[in-house]
Amino acid sequence: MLKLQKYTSKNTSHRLGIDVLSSVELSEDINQSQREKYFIEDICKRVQKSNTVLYLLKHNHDILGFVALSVSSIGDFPSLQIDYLFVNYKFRGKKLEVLDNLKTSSYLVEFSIEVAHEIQELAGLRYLVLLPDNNKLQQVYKDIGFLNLPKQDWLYIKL
Amino acid sequence: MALVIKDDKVVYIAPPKKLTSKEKKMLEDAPVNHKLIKRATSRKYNVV
Repeated sequence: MLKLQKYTSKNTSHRLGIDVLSSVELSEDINQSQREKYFIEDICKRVQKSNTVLYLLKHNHDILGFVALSVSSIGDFPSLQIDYLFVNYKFRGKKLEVLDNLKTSSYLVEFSIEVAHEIQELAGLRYLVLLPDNNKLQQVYKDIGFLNLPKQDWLYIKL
Repeated sequence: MALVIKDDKVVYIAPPKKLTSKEKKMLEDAPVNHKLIKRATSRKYNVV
C-alpha cells in the first residue's frame, strides 16, 4: 500500500534521523553519500524543532523517498518551500507504476503542489520554491515544471 | 532544497528577500502550469 507518513514535532522522536537513515540507500559516491547523511540528520532535527514537516513516501515496506516542507517567502511573496527532497538510491530515475508512472521526485513535487494548494485555500500563498543542490538537479526540476529567475539559483512554480 | 554544506556544517538557506523590480515582474507574470497543477491536485494522496 502506498502512503505518505507525516512527521511533525508532535509525533517525532530524536530517533527519526537514525530510523530514516537505517531504512534508505544513499548514493554510491562516498562524498555524496556523506552529504545526504548530513542533510537527513539536519532535516530530522528541523522536524523536531517545528521548522519543517516531513512526508515519508512508503510503498509496503520500502521507503521510496521523502520531502520536507516549510512556509517561506520569496521577496514579499508567501511561498511553500521544499526544504529537502530525497529519493532512495535504488528508486532514483525509475518511473513506478504505483506512482502513476511518475518518478519518485516528480510524485513528491506534485504532492507538494497539493499541500500548497490546501494551504492556499486557508492563507495567502503564491509559489512553491526550492533551491536545487546542483546544476544537474536544476534541469531535473525544470523538466518537472519549475521556472527560474535569471541570476538566481532558486526555482519556483506559480500556484 | 534549502540546505548546503559549508565548513562541514549544514547551513539553511532562505529564498532571496530582496528582488529587483524586474524579478518581481517576472514572478508576477509567470504562467501558471494548469496541466501540472490539475494533475497534482486531482490525485488522492494517502497521508497518515
